Amino acid sequence: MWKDFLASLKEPEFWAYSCWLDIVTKYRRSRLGLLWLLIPPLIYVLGVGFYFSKLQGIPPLDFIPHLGLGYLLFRLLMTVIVESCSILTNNSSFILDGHGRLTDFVMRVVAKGIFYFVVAIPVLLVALLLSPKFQVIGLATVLPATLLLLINAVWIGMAVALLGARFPDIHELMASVFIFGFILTPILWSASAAPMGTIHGTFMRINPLFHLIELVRAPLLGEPMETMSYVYLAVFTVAGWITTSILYRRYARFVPLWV
Amino acid sequence: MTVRLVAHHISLRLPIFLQSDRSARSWLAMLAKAAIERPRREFRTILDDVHFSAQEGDRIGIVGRNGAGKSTLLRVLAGAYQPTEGWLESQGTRQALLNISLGFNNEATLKENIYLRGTAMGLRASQLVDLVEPVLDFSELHDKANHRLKTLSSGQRMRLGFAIATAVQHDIMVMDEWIGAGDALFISKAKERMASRVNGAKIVVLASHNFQLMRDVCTKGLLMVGGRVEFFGDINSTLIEYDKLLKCGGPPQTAA
Repeated sequence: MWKDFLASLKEPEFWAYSCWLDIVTKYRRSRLGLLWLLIPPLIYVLGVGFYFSKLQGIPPLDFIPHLGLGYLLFRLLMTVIVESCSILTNNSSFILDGHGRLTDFVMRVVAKGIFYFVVAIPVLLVALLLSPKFQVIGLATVLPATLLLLINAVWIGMAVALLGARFPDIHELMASVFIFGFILTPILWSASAAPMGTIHGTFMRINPLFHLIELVRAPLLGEPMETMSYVYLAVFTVAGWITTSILYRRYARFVPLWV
Repeated sequence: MTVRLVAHHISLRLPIFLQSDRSARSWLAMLAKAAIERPRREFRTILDDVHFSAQEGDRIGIVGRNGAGKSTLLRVLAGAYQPTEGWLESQGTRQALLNISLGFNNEATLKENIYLRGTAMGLRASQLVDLVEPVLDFSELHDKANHRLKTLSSGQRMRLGFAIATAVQHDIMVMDEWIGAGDALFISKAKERMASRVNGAKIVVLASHNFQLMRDVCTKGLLMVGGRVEFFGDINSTLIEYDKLLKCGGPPQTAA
């Protein structure tokens, strides 16, 4: 699998181009065109952010970047993982024609997720710059933290892609899990509302999305980061990649039979 | 480097999903059953001890009735299916043209689709630019280059697919029968292109029901019956064998 991933990164033409084509053709006939990439984050981050801050009695300028970062990172992970579940089935015609490098298809989804995220960054920047909670020093860790998040998104995507090729149930399951995941992750609320030792606190800490998102977000907003999160993420990343590479080695060759 | 393609006693068992066959008393019961019944998963032997070898210069025509395992064998040769038993030895660059409509994006223009297919075939960015013009020339779709793909007729699509698939020369070509939807003029053009491509490629494996095409293009023939190789020899005797098989009705085609 490592070899395939490296080869995918070295020859990005197929997955990068097909992903780009998916995006531009999707919006080609709409009046606003690619602006539609920017409008949903605007509505979510500013609109929902403002409304929810009022509901909770938090100053909007504090809350909007918290929600914005949380939501956009969550959306990135959700796009990659949920769409990976059916990506191999959707590309069966390529696979049956002998395009056996399955990592290409996962990279296609990852590229799409990253692209949507990057387009929304200006919204985040505005929200951060206006916020009194913004910590400039946090920018130092943003890139490595996002990279770690992506590395994890990739192995999860690859794993669910293999499982989803065999069991269509995985796609349905993931779609449901992520609806719950949105509530379970401190996006609309703050992690301090779920202290350690409580039932909801335990649930939140089991949830990998929480740790991945906090890793990127907490330093930027000067929120506390638990030591446990670092340990969790280290174990999660290593164990995840090992599991996925075993799955890949064992099952990748059966994928053409399943799709 | 010598180009070789050798199938070493390849067998392939595939899982298939079956709905059970119990008869329903009314159409309503039938609809209801369709909703709750789980499909059964069964393994079927699709290819059974397929063994042959192709050397440089061989052009092998695969014949056999529908369901004899031709397409499955091509997928094994293309490297999509891994054999359950036996193994495939393949040296040289390989291009499969099994599915003519592979990976088109309906909303994108023809030009963009040419790029897309090119990247899917593993071409690098620098090679793609040189691909567009010859493909549009051959498919005679110059005036449609910037139209969306879904505005094409099925014959035009086939022309485009064929033009892209045969635009690049490879050592080993694995092809399913695809000249179906073109008009007569295009078919003769495609035959010509194929003859020239075939002459460039070192090994060609082609499945077809078109005897004339087989005689024109192939040197060897492989007759498949029920997932087994019934006959492997020069193309004319293969076609004679196949003809005999067709005349006497042939043994049942589905593999046990």
